[in-house]
Amino acid sequence: MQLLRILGGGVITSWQGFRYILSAAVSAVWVALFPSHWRGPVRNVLARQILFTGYQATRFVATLALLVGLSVVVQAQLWTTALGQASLLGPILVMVIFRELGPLLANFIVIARSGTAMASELASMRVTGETHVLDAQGVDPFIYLVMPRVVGAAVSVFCLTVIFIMAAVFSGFLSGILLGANTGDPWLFLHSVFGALTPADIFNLVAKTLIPGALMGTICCVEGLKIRGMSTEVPQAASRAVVKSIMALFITSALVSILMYV
Amino acid sequence: MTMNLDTNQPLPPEGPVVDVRDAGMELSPAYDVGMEGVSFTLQRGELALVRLEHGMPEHPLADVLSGLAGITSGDVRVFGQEWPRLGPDEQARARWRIGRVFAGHGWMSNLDVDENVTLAERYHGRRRVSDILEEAHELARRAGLTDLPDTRPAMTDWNRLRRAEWVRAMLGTPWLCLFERPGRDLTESWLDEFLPMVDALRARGTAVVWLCVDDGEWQAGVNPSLKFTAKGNKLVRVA
Repeated sequence: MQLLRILGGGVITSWQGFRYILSAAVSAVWVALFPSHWRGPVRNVLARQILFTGYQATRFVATLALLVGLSVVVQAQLWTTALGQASLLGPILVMVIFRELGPLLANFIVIARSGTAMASELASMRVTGETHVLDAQGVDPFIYLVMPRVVGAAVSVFCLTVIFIMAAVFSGFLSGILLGANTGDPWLFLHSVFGALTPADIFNLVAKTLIPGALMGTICCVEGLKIRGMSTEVPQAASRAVVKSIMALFITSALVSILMYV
Repeated sequence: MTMNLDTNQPLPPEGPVVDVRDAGMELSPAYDVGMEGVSFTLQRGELALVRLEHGMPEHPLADVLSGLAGITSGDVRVFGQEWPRLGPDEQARARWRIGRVFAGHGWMSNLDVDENVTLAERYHGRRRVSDILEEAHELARRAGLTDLPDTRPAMTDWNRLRRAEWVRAMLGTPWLCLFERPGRDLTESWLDEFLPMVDALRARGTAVVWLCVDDGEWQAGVNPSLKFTAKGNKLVRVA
């Protein structure tokens, strides 16, 4: 009975946490739809968020994509050659990189790089009373701090994923040539890659970038802002934010894959 | 509940700017004292000077008047409105009309001081940024600054930072100003610059609540409409 109570309590707490995050994410997206909320200072926060989360991560994402493209091609070439199906290299790249690896790794990079920073920054603001200062000046912390970060994170993840896919496909083609795979003419290769795309793949890409990106932004903001004001809570908030963001990423990815392809 | 408060007007609505009746609140960890039976009324251009007890500088009055700390008894109306009856957007717009010098850290660390100073005005106001900056620089000169600091608050000298906080509080057309120890850790001559600025505010119709600890402020030519000294949770009226 005691075990049941503990398990039940855990489930209820998790469910309440999930509902809270979801409602905060929906609220952030909802308020973002109103142009009146995008005042000058809020637009500045969005621009800074995209600069830090998106633009400043492009070099790292591109480098990682080049390496991933190489690895995938090496494996794909090994198996397609063994099966006598070297022409399937393009579609395999699409399936592996476009559908799964691209969104997943771009999200991971953003969580590791920006999620921790976001949660720590907002937690520090709580400790130093900066959210109180905003409130006292009539600047709504949700609109000024949370909304642009959520939107910025979602947009950045989407853009980084597109960059990742482009770089990985380019790397895949080049490494295919270097490794002697039958990649054929560049245009034919691109045609085989992008010709393998279906509308579901596009929806998949959008859903697997914007939704986890927005959820990550929300989780990191909520975890940062919900501390009570002790500096020792700052690293704890960052840690919780990363764990929950990764969990949200995998759950979202799995759900989207099931909905799109099963 | 909708608010009949046009925050774009240069002056607060007719009637008391602040009307506090028998307000009380429990002691909470954020403050050194609570509040009990606090009552006073401030009209346009009036100033209430409150001397806090030594060793108890964290008083909830400014937060109560800003609607950021809830009272447990009594009634607090600012601009004729009760905070709990306003929606979030209405509260935010009403707070924009309250200039404030904070007792503690009053800055956003990730913005430069000049960005901090103009933040609320850029967020709520309809003026061009260049006009806001022009007014801010003019106020900065009157506050004894050669210019408005454009460095992060953590990298700015305290004397300049505190004076920039005056500028922020007085920027635009505040209907009410809350000064929490505005001369904290400044040399005594700060009153020479600050008092004329406060007089100009009052002449324009802004009501002022000034919380002080130092006897210098208490005895200076502040010319208050009301004077109180804090005794525990109470504010005792001084003739």
